[in-house]
Amino acid sequence: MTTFAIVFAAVATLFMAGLRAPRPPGRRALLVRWGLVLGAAGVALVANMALYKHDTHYDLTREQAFTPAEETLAVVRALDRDVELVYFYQQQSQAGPGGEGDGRAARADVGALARRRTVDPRLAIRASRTASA
Amino acid sequence: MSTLSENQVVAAASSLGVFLMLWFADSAAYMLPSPIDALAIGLSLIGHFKPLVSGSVFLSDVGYFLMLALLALFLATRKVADR
Repeated sequence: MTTFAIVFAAVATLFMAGLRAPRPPGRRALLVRWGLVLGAAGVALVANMALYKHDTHYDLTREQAFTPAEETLAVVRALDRDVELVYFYQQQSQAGPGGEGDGRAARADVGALARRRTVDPRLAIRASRTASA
Repeated sequence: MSTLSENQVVAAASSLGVFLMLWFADSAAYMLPSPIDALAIGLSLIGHFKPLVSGSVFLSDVGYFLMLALLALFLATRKVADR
């Protein structure tokens, strides 16, 4: 939460400074304008990367559907090396985590779990589609 | 987009184009080579939106939408001030 506040405050401050930047006349105006556009896009990109690197996850579902069991978290915390967990699913499978018979739902749900790597750096989860039988 | 372009038709077309590109970026990501696919997924609107609405809130997703809004506000304000 602290990283989020710092990044957001830094970006807001930079954008405020950009709004007050001088507007030179003539040909330099075009350079300044494009510099500001590219600079602002770059600042937004870097800020997003910083937020992703120092991410925080809140599971707001009543069933805590996106939070692994305490026992699983204890195992993950005890890992002393990187572990990659590969989840295989079929494109038309009914058994995906979404239960929608759509591989995209499975991919999205596993993708959400995989993003926990920023929270549990030792555990990487990857979804892999297999051919239908 | 309407503040960035003088022409309304260009503004409408570019708005639609940018919106669709950001919306479907993650669908196209799986056809892209390795470093670029992560960037495409990172830019995708739906990739950040779906976890949020399903109750799995990452602060980076919230930040993505705030940064997008801030960037659009910055560019629009700067352009209006230039006029």
